[in-house]
Amino acid sequence: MTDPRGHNPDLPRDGRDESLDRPSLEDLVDAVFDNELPADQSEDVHARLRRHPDIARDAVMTRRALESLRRPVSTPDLSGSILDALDGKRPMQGGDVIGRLRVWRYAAAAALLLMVAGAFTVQRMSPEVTHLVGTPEDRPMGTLAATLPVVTEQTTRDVLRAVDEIQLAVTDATFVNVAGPEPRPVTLVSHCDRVRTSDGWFECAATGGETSVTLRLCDTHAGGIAVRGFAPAWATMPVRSERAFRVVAIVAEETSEQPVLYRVTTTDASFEAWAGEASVYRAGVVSGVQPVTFEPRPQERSLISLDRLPR
Amino acid sequence: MAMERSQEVALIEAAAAGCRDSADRLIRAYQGSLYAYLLRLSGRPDVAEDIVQDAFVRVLANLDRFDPRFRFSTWLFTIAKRLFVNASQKFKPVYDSEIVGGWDGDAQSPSRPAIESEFRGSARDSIGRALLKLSVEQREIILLFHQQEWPIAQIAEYVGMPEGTVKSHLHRGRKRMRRFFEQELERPAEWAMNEGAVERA
Repeated sequence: MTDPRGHNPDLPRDGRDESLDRPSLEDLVDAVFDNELPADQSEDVHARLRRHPDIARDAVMTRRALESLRRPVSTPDLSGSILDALDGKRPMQGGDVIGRLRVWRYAAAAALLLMVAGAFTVQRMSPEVTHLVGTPEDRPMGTLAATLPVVTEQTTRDVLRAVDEIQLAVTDATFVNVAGPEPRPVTLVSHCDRVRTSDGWFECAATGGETSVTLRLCDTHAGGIAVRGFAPAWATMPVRSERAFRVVAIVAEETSEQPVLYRVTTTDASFEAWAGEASVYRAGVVSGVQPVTFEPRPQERSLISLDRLPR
Repeated sequence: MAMERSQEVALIEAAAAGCRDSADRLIRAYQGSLYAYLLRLSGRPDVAEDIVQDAFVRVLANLDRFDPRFRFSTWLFTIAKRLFVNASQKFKPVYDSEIVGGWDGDAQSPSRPAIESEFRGSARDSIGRALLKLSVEQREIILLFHQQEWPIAQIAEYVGMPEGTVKSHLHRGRKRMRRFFEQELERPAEWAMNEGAVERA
């Protein structure tokens, strides 16, 4: 049958038998199912499917089947059994407990921050409240005394007590005599449980035509406050181990960017060192040394000095 | 249940921190789709249920290993698929002549894990039976695309195949299903009955 213009409606306008197009039509149907065909081309596919009822029937059947895959299925609620099984492997807690824990953590952190901020404020406004005025006094050799910046009186006492009890022994007794330009590691042994045994290094450096020897004391903490040493100079060479030295220790605030000078006392101490016995500096006493106050430069805040004293 | 990605990540982080409620919400968000997938993949509700439970337990117990750059669903389904493969290997072969003899064109062999046969025997709906005519790869790709509506790229990542291969499996799978339905059409009464059963289910 033809239309008034002589076209068979079952055939394309060019009269070509569309059975030749079956493979491409099937490909297009696949593209429709793949959601890869633009809407206008999908319309065209549908139009062509009308001329191929067998392909159209298959397509409809496929579409129905695929749509049926998306129908919801009755799903058993397994959350309870899953969580019960999980409890044996990973303890879980209710959201309210987690929430309370989180609130407690935040509260604790906030309280800590407030304490620190308060301590800083007090320290800035009334430094005398937080400074321990040390009294120079003779101490056994090897003992450090320090003036401590502390945030509470109790901590001050704790730290002072701790520093009072520091006993230092340099493991390498020969270091003094062989000091060179390179830093030499030493271990400072603390016999006080408030101050950790720490590693430091010893170096000999020329400053202003003189040689200074510096014993750096690193990472030593007492009561949460860093114990730092300072070394303005130690100007002799060669260093003789039997010389007496003044040991100066300061305590500086670790987090402060600018050096904060707290009161510094000296412990008048002397080394009567290395009388044939390695690794031990025996205690001695040097009296009459005046306390000194100095302001360490930033890069020197972690130094501890051994200043030679006249015999 | 559709879930925003940010919401999903928040739930995962909370569940990893031990929050039971968040774990519960994750389970409820995905258990339906995972169960439907495994039910169609295996053809057996009991197997699907066991694997869903086991997969969630494993995933939730190891949430701290989850990489948030990836999809949670891909991870969950990957674990579930491994469990499915393991489960299918545990089943002893069952040589049911009626079941096995009823299948054609699927390169059957007696040594093939009998769970396949068991699944087939228990699949009573047409679509279920049509799916079981497919290879496991074709079946899972058909399910992921048409049931889970995953994009081709995600499926390719999940099955470890190029996207072209995934499409090829998709086309062949649909063709095979069409062929199955053509045969089914010769038994219209059964078709109608089975369709009704599926809808009731």
